[in-house]
Amino acid sequence: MNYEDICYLSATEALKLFKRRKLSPVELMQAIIKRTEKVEPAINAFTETFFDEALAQAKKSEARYMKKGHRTRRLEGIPLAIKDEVPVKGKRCTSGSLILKDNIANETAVFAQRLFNAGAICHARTATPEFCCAAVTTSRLWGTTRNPWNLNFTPGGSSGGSAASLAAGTTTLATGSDIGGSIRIPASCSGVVGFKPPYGRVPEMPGFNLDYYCHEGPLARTVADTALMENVIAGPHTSDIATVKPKLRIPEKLKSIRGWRIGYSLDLGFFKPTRDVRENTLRAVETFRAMGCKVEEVRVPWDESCAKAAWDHLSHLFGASLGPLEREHGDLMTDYARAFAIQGRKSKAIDFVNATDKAGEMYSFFGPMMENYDVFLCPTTAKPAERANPKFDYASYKTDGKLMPDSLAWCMTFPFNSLSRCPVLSVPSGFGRNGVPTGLQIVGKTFDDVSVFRAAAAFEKKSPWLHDRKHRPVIRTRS
Amino acid sequence: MADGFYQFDGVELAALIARGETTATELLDASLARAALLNPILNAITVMAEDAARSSITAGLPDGPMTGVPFLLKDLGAEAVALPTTNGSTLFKDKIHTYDSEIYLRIKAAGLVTFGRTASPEFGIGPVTEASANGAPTRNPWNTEHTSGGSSGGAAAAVAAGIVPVAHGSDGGGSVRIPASSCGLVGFKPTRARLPDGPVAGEGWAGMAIDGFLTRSLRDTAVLLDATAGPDLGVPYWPPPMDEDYVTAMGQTPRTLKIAYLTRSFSGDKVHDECRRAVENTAATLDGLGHHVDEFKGSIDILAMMQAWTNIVACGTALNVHAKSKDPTVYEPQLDGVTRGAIKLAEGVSGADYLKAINDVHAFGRQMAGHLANIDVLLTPTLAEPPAIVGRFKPVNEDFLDYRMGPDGVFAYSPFTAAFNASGQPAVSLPLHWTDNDLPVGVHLAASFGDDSLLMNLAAQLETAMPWREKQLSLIRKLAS
Repeated sequence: MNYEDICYLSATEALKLFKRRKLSPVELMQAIIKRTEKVEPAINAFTETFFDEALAQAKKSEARYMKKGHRTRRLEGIPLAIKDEVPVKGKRCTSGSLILKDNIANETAVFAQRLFNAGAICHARTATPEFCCAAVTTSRLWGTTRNPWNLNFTPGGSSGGSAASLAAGTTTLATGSDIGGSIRIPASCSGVVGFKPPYGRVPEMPGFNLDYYCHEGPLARTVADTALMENVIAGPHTSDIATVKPKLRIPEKLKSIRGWRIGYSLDLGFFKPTRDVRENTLRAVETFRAMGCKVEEVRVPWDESCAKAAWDHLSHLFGASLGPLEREHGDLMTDYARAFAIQGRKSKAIDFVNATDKAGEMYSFFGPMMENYDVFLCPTTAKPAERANPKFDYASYKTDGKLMPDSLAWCMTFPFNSLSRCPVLSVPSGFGRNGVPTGLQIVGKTFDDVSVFRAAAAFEKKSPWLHDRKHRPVIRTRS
Repeated sequence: MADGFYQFDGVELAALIARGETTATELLDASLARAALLNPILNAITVMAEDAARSSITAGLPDGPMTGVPFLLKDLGAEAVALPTTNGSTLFKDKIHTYDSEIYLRIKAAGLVTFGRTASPEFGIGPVTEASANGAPTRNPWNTEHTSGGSSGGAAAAVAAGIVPVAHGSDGGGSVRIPASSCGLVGFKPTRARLPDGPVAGEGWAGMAIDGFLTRSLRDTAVLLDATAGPDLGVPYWPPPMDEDYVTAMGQTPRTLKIAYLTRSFSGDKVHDECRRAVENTAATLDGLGHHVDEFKGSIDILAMMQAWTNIVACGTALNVHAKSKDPTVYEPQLDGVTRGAIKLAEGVSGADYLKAINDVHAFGRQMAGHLANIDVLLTPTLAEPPAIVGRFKPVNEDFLDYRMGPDGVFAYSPFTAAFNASGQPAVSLPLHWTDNDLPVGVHLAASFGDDSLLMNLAAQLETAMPWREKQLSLIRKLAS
């Protein structure tokens, strides 16, 4: 095992090796630091690193493993990259904005605290687009984050730094948040796993905790790691009225899915997936069939008005929340964040009400349909990825009469923010012709997280990713 | 099963052998059977060395990246004791070598089983393979009325027809890339001096010529270049070392490249619509892959380079002939008209003229380096037309200058390839386009001197984005029946 192999160990494997004293948390952290120094110049996934602090913590973790009979915590010594929008007390938290470039958090998000309490070691913060309001990770403050599989393309967004660092082998676990696809899109573009838990499963910061589009969740390289991390961060908390009781645990051993009924759609009724996305999705469908599932295509009666509804919802709450900042510091903002903030300021209550109606209408199809199936499959994105530095054109949305803004047209994720109680896992389904990974969304019935993980674990076994040296990105280190 | 072998590339065949699913002997038999069937039509193979191939298997093949894969050397240079050459000339008929060339030693070490040599025009000059010494013209397996290209035309015909998965070639003015373009194959010309010329010669045609391979898959090219690249003992010049090997470069994460394309020749002449379309489609695909693609804005002066190239090659040809005989009454009746013309031209080139030609070639390299300072890759068609009808470039023209530089000459037909022999840059022809009549049209990409890995990386992106394997297999399956 060379140092790169160590970097690509899953948390589950690393913990096993720690316990058997075949690997020390210090060795893992050192390998990750070495890899980071090598590939970060090309990828730019991290905004800040804390290598000295992380090594000191890794030494303590190592001591815990060495001490006979000492109980070790669930993520003891595991490197963790935390998205640069999550407050961690005493640490900088910028959300990719020049306005917040010197902002120091004075509290720690509940789910982050849970990760620390479980022994995870934060060695880096990951890049986001400004205020996480785009599916592409580029900002004036931190520059452009690039896809480890093809540097010309984005690793997705908004949790782009998190997903890119997992794919590049510069972290073992990473956090994400998803208000329109911001966990699943980067997972798909970067060829890793991302879980959007159902609304209320993972505690949120008050305020946004009441926007049901909004979720914190895990990103990892394997389904088991995703479950491991989800089990740490999930569960009700006294600070968040939306959190649901009781806590749900994803079992470590997941049963077979033989005989399951599965529905799928290539387009959710109104997206236009590219040929490579269609082919990879259909190959995934065949994989499920080969596992003894009955898989049927479902005609989804949704149209672009669903996109308008999602856009109106996002503008009304999320966009409007940026309005005052735009008024005061608009000159410091990126074009896309500024356009989104202005959009939010102009949003009317009736648009929001109509958006809520539309979400209800969508579920009136999806809910009954799901009574026939154990899980539902569709692509995560309609093309492998957007370019690393596309032209953002949010502002054209109202004027050119289109219901779906171009920036959303490739994100097949937001319908499940409208249907936010449905858990959704994105797993890699293959590669596009440009070498960029594609993703498959596995959607569950409301709050049925376990079925989603069962399907994903079975799929991973048949169709693994990043599982050996040949299946990792090779990042050129000299120009 | 034997029929099935023709569809595999070299890497796959070597894997089949390694897994015990076939043997080197079985593959050799399959290649010989297919050669017996197709060579009478194509005239791709001029020297057979079946016994040598069988005894190399019996003696035990070295453990290499292509162990047991059937292979053909070009019937030009590449000295090998077991494989006589004719160099496409009756003057050299059945020339026996007393030593193995370094390139052949490396080919042997890769585990390849060489069972013959492929047709070349006389001394490798020309974009077609129609030397009278070969008895009949070499024909294109896609359409036998057309040429398979030249000078590695026999190699290209054999690989495209599925006789062998990969074959050796050499390229001093486009002689790997022109046949690759003509037969729907990959032809990669590495940076000057990347492959060995020893143990006797230091360089061919003043450094413009280099060996190479004709392959169907890009990975076969990468594996063969990795197996053969690197300086040999006493080499006079070294290229800049590569950051990584060709195979690694293929799989490397792409970065955004500045790519400039040309749909006219360097001197502004129109190319065939199919060639223009091939470039435009490729440019659009590259744009879709995230690269910055723009029309080439600069101007490249090629006249002096073409004149210099012609003089150097004429002198090189004279050198080849004089090695055998200095008596015109002996050699002239045995040569093709074009060869006689080249020697006549060479007689008028003084020592000072020759050094001026080298200066002009080097000045051209500096000019190209200047252009490549602003862009990463130059994209053009490989040829200005789809492959020509057999006979159009028949080597009978005794005016070598006219044959090369005349209005219907070789440079008008192949206006791009020789530029990169002069500059020494890495360049590749990829099979990215076919005409409505199913004639292959290659697309040509060139990178900066020494940057073979960037070129290989981009070629791999194109192979994924515009896969050509099925198209190649359609021909192989058609020919099998």
